[in-house]
Amino acid sequence: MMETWVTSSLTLAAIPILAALLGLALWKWTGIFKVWTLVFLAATGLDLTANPGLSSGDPTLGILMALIVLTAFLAVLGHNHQQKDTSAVLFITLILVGLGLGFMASEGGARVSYLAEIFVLIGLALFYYGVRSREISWGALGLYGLGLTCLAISIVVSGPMAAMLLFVALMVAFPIFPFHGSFIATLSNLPGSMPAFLVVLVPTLGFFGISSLLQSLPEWLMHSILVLALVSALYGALKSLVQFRVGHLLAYTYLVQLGIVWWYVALSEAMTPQVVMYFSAVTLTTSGLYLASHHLETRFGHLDLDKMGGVALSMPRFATIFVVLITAATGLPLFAGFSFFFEMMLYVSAPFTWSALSILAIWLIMSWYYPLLMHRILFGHPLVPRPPHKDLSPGEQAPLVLIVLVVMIIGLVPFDLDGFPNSPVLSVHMEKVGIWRP
Amino acid sequence: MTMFFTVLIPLLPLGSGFFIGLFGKQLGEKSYKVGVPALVMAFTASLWMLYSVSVGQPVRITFELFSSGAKDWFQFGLFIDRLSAVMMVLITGVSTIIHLFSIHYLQGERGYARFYSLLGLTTFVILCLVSSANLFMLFVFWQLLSWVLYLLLSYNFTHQPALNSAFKTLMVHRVGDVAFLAGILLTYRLFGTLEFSELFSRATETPVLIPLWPGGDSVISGMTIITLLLFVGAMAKSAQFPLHVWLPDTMDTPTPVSALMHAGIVNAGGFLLNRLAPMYGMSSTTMHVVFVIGMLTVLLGGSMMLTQNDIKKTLGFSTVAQMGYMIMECGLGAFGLAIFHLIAHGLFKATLFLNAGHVINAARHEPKRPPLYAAVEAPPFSGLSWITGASMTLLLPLIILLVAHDILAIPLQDAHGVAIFLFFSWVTASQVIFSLYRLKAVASWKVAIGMVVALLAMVLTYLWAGESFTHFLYPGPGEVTRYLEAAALADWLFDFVVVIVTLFILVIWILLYTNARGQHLLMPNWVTTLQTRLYVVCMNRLWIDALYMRFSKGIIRLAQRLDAQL
Repeated sequence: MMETWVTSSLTLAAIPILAALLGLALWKWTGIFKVWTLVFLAATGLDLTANPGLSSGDPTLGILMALIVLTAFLAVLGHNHQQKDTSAVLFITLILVGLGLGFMASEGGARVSYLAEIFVLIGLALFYYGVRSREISWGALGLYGLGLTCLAISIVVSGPMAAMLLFVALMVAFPIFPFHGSFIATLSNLPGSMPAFLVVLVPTLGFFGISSLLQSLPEWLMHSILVLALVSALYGALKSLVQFRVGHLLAYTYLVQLGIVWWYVALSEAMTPQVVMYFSAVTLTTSGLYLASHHLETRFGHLDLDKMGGVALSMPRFATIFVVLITAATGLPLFAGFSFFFEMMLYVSAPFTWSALSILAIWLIMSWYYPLLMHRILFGHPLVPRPPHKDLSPGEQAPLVLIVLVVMIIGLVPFDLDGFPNSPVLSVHMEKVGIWRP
Repeated sequence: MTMFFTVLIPLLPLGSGFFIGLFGKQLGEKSYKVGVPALVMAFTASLWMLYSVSVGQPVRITFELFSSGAKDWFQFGLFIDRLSAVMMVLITGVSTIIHLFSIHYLQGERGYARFYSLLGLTTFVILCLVSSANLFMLFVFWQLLSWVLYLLLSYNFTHQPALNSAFKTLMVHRVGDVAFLAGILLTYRLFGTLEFSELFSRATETPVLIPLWPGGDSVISGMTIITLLLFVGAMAKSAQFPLHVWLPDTMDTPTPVSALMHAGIVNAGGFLLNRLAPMYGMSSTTMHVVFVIGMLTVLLGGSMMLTQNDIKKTLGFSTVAQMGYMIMECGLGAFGLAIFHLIAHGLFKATLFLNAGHVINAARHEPKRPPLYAAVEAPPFSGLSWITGASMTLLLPLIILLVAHDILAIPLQDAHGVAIFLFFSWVTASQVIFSLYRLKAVASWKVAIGMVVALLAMVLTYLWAGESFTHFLYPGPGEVTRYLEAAALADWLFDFVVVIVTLFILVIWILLYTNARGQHLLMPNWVTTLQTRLYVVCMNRLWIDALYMRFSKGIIRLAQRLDAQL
């Protein structure tokens, strides 16, 4: 059954890559290319849901794959096709969706090569846009280089060494301090709606990969990760307080959320259903915030918080949706982020250890920087005199509203997690197909 | 029918809030035509509900989300007992008045529809909070209340001071929310349930002791830790020292928002303590902490109120002190009395704020210079009023001490509580008598009789509230007595508190006497200096705001350094 699922999933991964290659013919007609991309992403999504392996196989895998396709679709839907680089954004998105699904569905060396290709593609994009904006982030490129090196060596070595090298490469994808630089640079520098998609794709691959490695990691490493996760979350929280560019700020806030996920995984040494759902919820919400910031960028031409303010006056529809997204991101009730955070904390083996209390303190700091971001964008008087901007069009609103609805529905609607295996589900998968054992 | 009303009461304001929110642009200044009828109906239904649960049994509705019981904590349910029903009547009543008041008051405002929408949603959130059937649902609405309050306070979002105070309010409330969450997590860990009735019975059956530190011999009651953590949540919502800093600064909002906040939202802490009274009744330590925090809030809130030179801030600190009073009542086990106080305070504060709004509105339409103060001659000393006032305020502590030491018996149901009920009636009556004396310091039988009547009215009202109203809210046999016993202070401590308050009142009468005679008490220099210093400290709000500001700036500086280096 699993083999059928894997084979059909590889076919699934081929659809977006084929669409990207055929779409090259539409490069000049950005509007048509966008529709083309949406159609093929929808087809990929339908194929995914129709896949028999999804219902009978590992629910985590299905959820994460659906997350990738859904956010790619919403990011493209919300992308303003009149912006320059639209065709490049659409092309890269389709290719990355294909590679991402390929990574999820493949095994062993093939999986390593998929991840390596993703690192190369993102690294190249980062270099290209860095050259253009004269802000090349060598540190970030270096981290992708480190990831690639680790992936390459892991193919030629075996045993615990290979696992450790893969783990380092995955830490670049599923960022944790001090391996976060490439991720922050990627989200802050790439154009259009790409950050809204990459904020989902890259960590999802890392999250999935790490879950497969959990059982082969030594105990001392998990303890170190526990400490590192707290440092990462605290570091992200403090950095979030002093950022003045929306892209950077959102990247650091997301680092905090991932710090919480890392902490829980290190503590429980398992990918429980709660942490999978929490990860999906916060990732989707952050994607929504990136998409919202993309709409601001198309109007203002920049995302400098010091030059914004007073947007609620001219864009009430945007303001309403943004308030709801911030509510979800802050971890308030009615949204999945709260529900699954609460559930995670409820099942923590020792809720009153110093690390759990630190997580609660970090949760409190989230109520500082998210509302502060909202304040600076929406409220007050416009800080720089500017003509009033048009409010969101229905096409721009739709993906944001969909994200809000999805995050709300999975937070409120009875979502029985009994279908998930209790222990590290992905490790079972690993044993069956023998992935990460080059 | 009862089920229908139970669900209808919160749904009406929710529906109106959503409808106005969605069609606010079309409705414009007709938004009240949706909001007001919804609230009037909700109020009527609440009255019916109060009658229904008064003569019958509490109502419980559970929305089954997980039939398998996999998530036993994730249950949404409504539980309406007498306490909830009383709160629902108060909330819908105050909200209806505010809806009506705002029709004309906010006319012409840009955010008219937004205001009505938020008002409906806030009412819904508070109604769900007071009718929650379990701790999880209560926590959900507890947090949502922090958020909708923040949005309400940001109503004038172009006005920077209003935004700053809204942000400050949110931060303080989130501190309480985090402590609340920690309390819930520990509750679930120790007792395995968040459902109120189940939780109370499990906690009674199996008291849990937990070590103070890992591997240590010293232990502490799990219930004490839980109730203390939950109390921090209540402190934030009810503006208790040192988490009171948000309330006096929230006066940049429209008058109806202030009225709702001071008459409804700040009561959440008192409600929480009442709802969890069976848990608080299991921990004398927590009760004493609650009493101390309440007393500190009364003293400091009152002192800061007297030294403010801004009328709105004065009103804010007045609410802080009143909330301290309410919490102090809970700390003495007089939970029912706290609810009575909460209702009384809610009604008079709402009236005060709405009336203030009228005055401001009238002043806007008829701008005049305020009248110049003419030199007024000091009133002559009134011996009759002075003697009556002093004897009335100093007679009661004697009775209280006699009752407390079982020398004098007053045949009431809760003998334990009589001294406490009399204590509160004494403090309140003394305030009224002092006000009467200050405003009408003339030798008049009318004033003297007024003082006696005030004292009698207070004593009888408090005894009624302490007896009948408490037993109305807590009809279980021996329930009230249990709380009073858990909260009982040591005899010497209670005597000490009574004596200190008596001395304080005595000093005030002496000061009034000497001032009226143009004399001055001979006080050592250090007392005068201390008095001045205390005045400055209170005027600067104990520098607590500055301390918090410095702390947050310290964090920002740390973050800036980190940002520069990493």
